[in-house]
Amino acid sequence: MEMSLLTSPLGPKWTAGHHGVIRTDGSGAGIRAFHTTGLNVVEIAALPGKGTALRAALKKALKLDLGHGDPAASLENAVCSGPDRYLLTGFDLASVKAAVGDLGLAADQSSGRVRLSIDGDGVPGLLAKSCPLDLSKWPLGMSQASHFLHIGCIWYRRSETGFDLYVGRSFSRSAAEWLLESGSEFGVEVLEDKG
Amino acid sequence: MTARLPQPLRLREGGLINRNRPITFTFDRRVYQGYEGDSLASALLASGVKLFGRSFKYHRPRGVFSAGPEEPSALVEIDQGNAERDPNHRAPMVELYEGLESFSQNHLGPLGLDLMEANDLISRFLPAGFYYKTFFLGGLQAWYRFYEPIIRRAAGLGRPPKEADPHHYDKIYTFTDTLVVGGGIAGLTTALSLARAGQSVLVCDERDRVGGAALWQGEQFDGQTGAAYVDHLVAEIEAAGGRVLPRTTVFGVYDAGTYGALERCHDHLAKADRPAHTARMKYHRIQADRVVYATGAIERSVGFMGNDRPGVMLASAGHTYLGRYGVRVGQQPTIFTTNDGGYAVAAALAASGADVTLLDARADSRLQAEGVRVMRGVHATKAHGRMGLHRVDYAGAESGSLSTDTLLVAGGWNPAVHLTSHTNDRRQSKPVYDTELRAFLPPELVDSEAAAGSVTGALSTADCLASAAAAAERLGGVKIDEPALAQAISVSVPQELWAVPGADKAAFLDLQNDATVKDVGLAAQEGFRSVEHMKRYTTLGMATDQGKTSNVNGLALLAAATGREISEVGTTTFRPPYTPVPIGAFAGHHRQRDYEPFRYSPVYDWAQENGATFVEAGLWMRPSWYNEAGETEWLQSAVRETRATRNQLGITDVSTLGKIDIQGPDAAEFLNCLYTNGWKSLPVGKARYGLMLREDGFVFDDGTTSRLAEDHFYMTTTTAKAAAVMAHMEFVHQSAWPDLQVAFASVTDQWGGLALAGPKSRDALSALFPALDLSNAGLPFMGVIETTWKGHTARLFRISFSGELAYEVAVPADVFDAFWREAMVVGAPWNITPYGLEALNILRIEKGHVTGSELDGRVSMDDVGLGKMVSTKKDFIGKAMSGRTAFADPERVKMVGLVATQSHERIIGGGIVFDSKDGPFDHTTMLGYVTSVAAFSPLKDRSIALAFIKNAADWHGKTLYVVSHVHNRTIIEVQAESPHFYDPKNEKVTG
Repeated sequence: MEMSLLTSPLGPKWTAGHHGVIRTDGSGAGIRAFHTTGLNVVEIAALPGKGTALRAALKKALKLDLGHGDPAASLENAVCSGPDRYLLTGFDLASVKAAVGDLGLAADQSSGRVRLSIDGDGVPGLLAKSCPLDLSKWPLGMSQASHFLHIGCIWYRRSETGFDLYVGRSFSRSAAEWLLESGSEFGVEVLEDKG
Repeated sequence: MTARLPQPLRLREGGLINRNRPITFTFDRRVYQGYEGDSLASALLASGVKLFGRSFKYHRPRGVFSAGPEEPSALVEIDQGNAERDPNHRAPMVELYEGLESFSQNHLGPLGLDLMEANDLISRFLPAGFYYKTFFLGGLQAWYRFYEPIIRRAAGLGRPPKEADPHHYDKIYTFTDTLVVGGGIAGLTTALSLARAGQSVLVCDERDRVGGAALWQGEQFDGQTGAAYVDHLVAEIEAAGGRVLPRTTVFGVYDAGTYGALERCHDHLAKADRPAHTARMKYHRIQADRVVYATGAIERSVGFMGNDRPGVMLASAGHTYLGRYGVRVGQQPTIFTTNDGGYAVAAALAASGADVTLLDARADSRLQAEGVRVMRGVHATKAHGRMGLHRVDYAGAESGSLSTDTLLVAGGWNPAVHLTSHTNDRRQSKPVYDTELRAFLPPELVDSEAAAGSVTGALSTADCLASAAAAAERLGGVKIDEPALAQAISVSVPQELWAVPGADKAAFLDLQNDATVKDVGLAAQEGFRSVEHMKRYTTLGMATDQGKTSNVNGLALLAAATGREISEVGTTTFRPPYTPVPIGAFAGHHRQRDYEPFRYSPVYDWAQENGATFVEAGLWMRPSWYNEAGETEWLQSAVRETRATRNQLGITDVSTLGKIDIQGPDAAEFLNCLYTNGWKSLPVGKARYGLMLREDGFVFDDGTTSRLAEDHFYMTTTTAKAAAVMAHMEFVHQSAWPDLQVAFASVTDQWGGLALAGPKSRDALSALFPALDLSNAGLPFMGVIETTWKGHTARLFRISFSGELAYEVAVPADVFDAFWREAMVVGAPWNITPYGLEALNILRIEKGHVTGSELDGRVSMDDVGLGKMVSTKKDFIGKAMSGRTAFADPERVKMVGLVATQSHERIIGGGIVFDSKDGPFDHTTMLGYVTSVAAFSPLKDRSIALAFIKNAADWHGKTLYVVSHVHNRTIIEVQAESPHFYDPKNEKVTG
């Protein structure tokens, strides 16, 4: 598989470096953001009545402990996106298919979903502008489908001020541009793509 | 440094202004000075300005009437250039900053010599309802030629900006346990109690500084000034985790604990001082579990002749300007009061050195105010002074006239109940009139709501604090020590006096709309008994202030005029917003280019680099055509692209098509439920065209679905309906067939897709996938191959939308740009030509393929010639209704092809089809309508179209006429024929 053929979906405005306000107190940007390229993403969904069995299979084959399906039991590499539905990251399609077996669907979304990660003390302000959920009350590991500035997405809370944002590829350029614009009040440091 | 300019009415000390920070500003281009902490109104008053603007209808000279957001008269324009010219700012709410440029409004000529004041001279001929009784005279022509131009010229308050708003606005989702609306002493006290109980508390106050009247009334709290005590409360609230937002107006209460609030972030700052990258205003959508209404009360006036003259204002305003801004509003003020509150104002002004007279409407009052001349049982009857008050007449126990430069009216207090009655989700939503307090109070609140302070009818600070304690207890707050009050001012329920005896034409109620006491009487006389009707007949309570200083007087006078109790008349309905909100704040970030997100294909950048002109298709940015050198019109490009595709090789981006991955043992059965045709027999490696119906039997969407494995299908939908189809599938699965063992996911964004079309498409595809057998046997029509391209999955589909030999190839979107570029390279020997939506449209119309233009929600399968695609062996969504009688009506319109008779004429999209060119061209003679037009078809060497007409097949070979009613009834002669203009036997696509 030639990874050099991959192109970024985020457009020309998403460039590594500082965007927006530069804080004079030397505290750096309020938001640090990066995009993960070449990330394996597989969407899985249980067939009706097979949710519990699916989670058991994932635990056994991929060591993913997703509890009883509560969105708050999401993992950084297994984000709940709906009832008995997850985005798995870092696993190749074949191994996921093998784990899921006849318990549900496994579809490659490595090109279909873009993960933007944000962190920093400006993140609560950015979330207040962009998401109708009170993400400050989320426990770590919580995920939910919602929107980012009216773009459908899945949120995942990684840390106190760290969130992953999964958006559809075709929307990701708009999402990236709007993230830079909305975050400019706090200063956004775009890090080099990780992959 | 600019020399100090005179401020004759500014006191040497007192107030909350910073005299060490003078600020220079202009009003009507004249330079004035004020101090940091001033409002525009206070600074102008300090400078001796009395005339602030003109009234709406009669253009009467007007001054400042209040000291807060209720201001009806002193509306000004703030000007920072053509784009930032902003009208209707309330002068008491405008914070002063260096370089502020302000202008008076609503006058023709100078403010002091407004030519439109002629309206006042003829005001006796312009009573309430004048418009309704007058403008029908002369008929419609008179309206269009005479009345409307004049009214248009006179209408409106202020001038709109000349350019688009350059600011940006933000929408903020704000969450809190408890929202406290109003940061007066009661609101802050309640907030502290709740914050200390562990609740997250948000206090919003519309003023630049919280504290309300405590800041300036002169009362002491625990031995501190009001301002110091307010600072202490704020610090304590914040220490307990609460937030206090000044300059934030909660303007609306909505269902389920949702509140709208507007935070003004920039308007108090000079341009240079505004923080970069921040919004002018933030619209907070607040979600709160509990709310405390601590919205205060608004003083009311009394109706008497000339009560709108510059220099007449509310008593509380005079007190505010004195206490907060150190401005003595007059050297020789007169107070006209109906309650004890007027005495505190009088005493404070007298203490500042003014020569004060107090007219107390009550004969039995025994109060005194030091240094104040008091006349009891006396009311003002008329104020004199066109440009500034100089005399007031009085009557009652004694009558006479006295010289004065300011008249402060204390008519009682109206609790600001507006927000408490915005929602209808309680048993009672309208304010309730309290006959003892002579005021409307909030309706009965639900458990999650409480009211505190003067909105409850509390008149004294002590009562306000007691109500705050009660509100806090109701919502789970902890007890906090009440401060020891000193120098408390005296208060009382007002004497009932809405208008003085004899008040009539020039006795104003609504100063903004020039609605008078007489107008209310006239409304009653004309039979407008409902307060809502009276409002609309007189315009009382309309426009920017929504009658905050006039409504209650007006409805009380209506009650008197109609012989009813005030409680029977009630209030008008209070609706959001409480005060004006710029539309930009509601739009927030989403305006112009950012109105909605765009969706970009993986080859958007390539298309841009190669001359594509884009069109917004749904949210997608799609190439419409690719311009080449020498092409001056879009049609030239589109025709070139069409010919290249028909003759050699075209390539187009189909990434935007909806794609849905369907897996599970019941996947085929699920497709059977969704589509009209059968799917169980579809072999692996084959695709099939399918048609979905809505439950009402009309066509919903179409597309091809491929079988990748026994239990795995790959569905494509139209671009427009992708999301709707996905939602439809969820609905069908969850509600109709929940037991089917199937799961599905949208993979639209996962796959980039291109179509290679034309006689050389097989050659090009072979060059891309040299290892594959792509012959007719290896990949027959509707065949599917799953393979790889440079290690990445690739799916090949032999399907055609153009009518040519064609293939669609899907590869992961991340590598699609590379794949496309390689396709361009390998296709070069056949002059591979990218084509956009316009050429795509010509190709598919020539072939007679339908799109959303045809499948517009009104057509059946038979209408589009696909009636044979119904399986009789199974059930599917829409089956029952697809057999309805109306669908078999021979008069029902069906699809037909149209060809322009004349090669130089273009059929017009949306045109109506008739069988005669002589008319009449209306519904009685119309045969049908045009749905899709190819402005030029290379196949027919002229314009062609798809249309729906009655008895479609009968018209084949006959002449018809397409008439466009929106193009001067242009008539295009056409020939009807089969809609399948190109290769009707499908030899191209299968060959």
